Amino acid sequence: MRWAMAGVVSAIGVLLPTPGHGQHRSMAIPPSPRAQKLQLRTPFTLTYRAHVRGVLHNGSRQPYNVRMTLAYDGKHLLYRWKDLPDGRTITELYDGKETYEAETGSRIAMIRPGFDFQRLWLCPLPGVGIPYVPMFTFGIPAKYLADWENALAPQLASLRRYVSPSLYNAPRSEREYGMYYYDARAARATSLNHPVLASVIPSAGAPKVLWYVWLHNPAPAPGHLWEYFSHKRFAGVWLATRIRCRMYGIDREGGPNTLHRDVTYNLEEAVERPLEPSAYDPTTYLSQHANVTDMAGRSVRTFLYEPGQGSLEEQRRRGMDVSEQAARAARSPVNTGFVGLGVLAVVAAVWIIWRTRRIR
Amino acid sequence: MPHAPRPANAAVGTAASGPPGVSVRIRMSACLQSVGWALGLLIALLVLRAYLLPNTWPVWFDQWRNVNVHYLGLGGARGVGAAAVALATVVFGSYYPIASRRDSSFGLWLITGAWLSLTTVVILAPWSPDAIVLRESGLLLGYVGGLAAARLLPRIETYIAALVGLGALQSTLAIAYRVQGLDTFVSGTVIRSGGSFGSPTELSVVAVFIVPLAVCGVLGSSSTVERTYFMFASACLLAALILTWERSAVVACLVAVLLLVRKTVPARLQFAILAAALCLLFVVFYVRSSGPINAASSARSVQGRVATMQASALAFRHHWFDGVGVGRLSLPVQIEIAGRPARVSLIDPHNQILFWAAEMGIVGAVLAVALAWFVYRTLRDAGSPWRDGVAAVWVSVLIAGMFNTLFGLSGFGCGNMLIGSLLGLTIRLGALGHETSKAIAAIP
Repeated sequence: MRWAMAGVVSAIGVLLPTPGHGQHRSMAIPPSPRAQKLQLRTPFTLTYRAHVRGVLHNGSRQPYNVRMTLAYDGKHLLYRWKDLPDGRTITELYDGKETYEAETGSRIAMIRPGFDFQRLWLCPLPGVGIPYVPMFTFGIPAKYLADWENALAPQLASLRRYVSPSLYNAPRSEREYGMYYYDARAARATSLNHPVLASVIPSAGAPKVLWYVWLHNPAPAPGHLWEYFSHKRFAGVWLATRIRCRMYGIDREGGPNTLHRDVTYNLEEAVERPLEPSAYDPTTYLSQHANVTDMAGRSVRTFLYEPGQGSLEEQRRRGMDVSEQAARAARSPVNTGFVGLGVLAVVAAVWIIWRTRRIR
Repeated sequence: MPHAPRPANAAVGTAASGPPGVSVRIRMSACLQSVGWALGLLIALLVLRAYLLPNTWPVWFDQWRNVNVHYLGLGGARGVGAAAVALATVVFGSYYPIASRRDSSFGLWLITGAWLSLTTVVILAPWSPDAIVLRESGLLLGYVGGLAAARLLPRIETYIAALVGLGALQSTLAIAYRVQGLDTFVSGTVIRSGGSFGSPTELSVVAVFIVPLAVCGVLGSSSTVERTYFMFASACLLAALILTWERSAVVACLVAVLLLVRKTVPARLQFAILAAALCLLFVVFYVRSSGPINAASSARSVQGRVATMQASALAFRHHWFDGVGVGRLSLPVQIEIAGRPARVSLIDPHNQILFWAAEMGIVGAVLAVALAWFVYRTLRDAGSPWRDGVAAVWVSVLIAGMFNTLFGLSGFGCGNMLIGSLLGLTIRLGALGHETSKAIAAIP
């Protein structure tokens, strides 16, 4: 017995000092002043034309072009992509509390809690950010940490396969390590926490991002790789006019990390003003009889939006509680009430007989 | 370590005494018994490894836990279900000789049987969907694995030491992963350790069940080696628990520890432990809610739990008699939204009592009350020094179970095995009764 205990203690002793690759901070790293200088904070409208290759949303591999707009009016962040091959235009709008998503050409619409842009892969510039949008406020340590490089050593080794050496070894560029974190529980999804690596060139005013990557953790390969070219000065930051995003993934367990999607963005227009006010009103994008699923409340509700029959908030309140419907509709394969009471009756009978015999 | 008495029917005498034929028979019997115990220890360790140290070497070993019908080759969901039921019958039956020694243990054994039989009925019903059969089979294997592991070893303290040891190993792994930055679960901005489970909630379940036993081992140890072992294990488990930042589990474990030290530690030291516990609680709560992002995350966590509890209370209200069905929660339900069919899920209530009430209706509630009553009676009648430790585990499970579903939800969850073990230990402790204390009192 004591030998066994000694064995367990020894195993613990061996495991505890396992050579670590460095120590991550337990608390979040606030965005450094450098990261903040990469972000737009005043109203803007950016329009990009994106060329998309790879496995598309409908499963086909036919490349297509899409025009996307990212606009901010000081309160709302609007993200719209149109001219999809099937003619749809999808709009996502974040008002600081909830995310509204609507599609033209279909009646489907969603309201989700928190910041939850589903078309994240089409977002062109992580450096363009709103302070309270977690997606954009990735933390970068103010100082270079050698431990981070050690921690990311396997990923960095494979990164050379994906990033052109000229960029990776760019003169005067500085590598920055950080943590991309996204609490997705509000969206009832899995929270993410990925190491982030950015290559930045210091320049007058604001630095330029050369490339930026999320690394899978702990898989030794990048997840999303964003590369930025042809910067131009815009609203105090260096804005890339050409951006390339490559998304990698592993299809099957033990399989290779392969390219799933390759998107190139070209900036068409950048103006320092928001879109018209109606663009930031979610009802603009809701068609008549739009079937809205509201996931932002305590329970999931659904309603058909009818313009002119009250405000969106009123119609939301009148919505049907999906949880209640599900609770009503659920049916047990076995009637637990009768079966359970039967089992309990048998148990009670056995118990009484047992007790009676023992007492005698 | 507190020593439980040897079973009354343990082999006594020496091979040298008695006629030669009898001597050989005794030797063979002792030899067979040793082989049986070694086999039992091996199986118990395999079960503990499967549930407490998943995703560690050897990784292939974890596949059976997933109840992968192709891997198991048992002819689909029905085959897996039949195998699980057969195994459950054998393991449950093996407790009868022990449980029948005392009324309270027998009652607890019966209630355990009632609970398992409800799961069994759902598995065996030909019209049960395959998804439910597979899920319930996985759960049943967990319960039965725990019961079997707690039954196979002749001495209770050996099993508890093994349980604590593997829990401590998992905690050490969690700390090592944390040091290496391999944790990927984030709440707000707080990175939370998940050990080899990859889930902080799952890791905290290990602590909820094992910390009180480890602390009981520290308080009742009779030798330095044992005390060191349990102290080391307690420290690892508590450290890993804090790294999960799971508030309800920390509260549960601290309450259990305070209950344990109440009897054995001087009043002044008790006060110091209470102060330390309060400081620790403050740190955990502070970290989880400091700053706007964490405050929002924390608020969402609380709101989410309230919402899930309300949804389950709603399910109970609509199905108070028959429940939504064993194995139904978190599986899709077909409803109609705006005239179109849609599949939605009934969500996990994050509350063990509500979970039973929602799934089994009034029977679940009665079962919970009956289980609590028989656990109380059994532990009241027990005389083993481990009684307080096991009672503290039940308290810990009760508190943590108010804010999380510890078992019965996921077939892979370690909570299923741990609740099986806890039931097995309680039945065995109750069956021993006060034999030790009476025997000691009889010695002049």
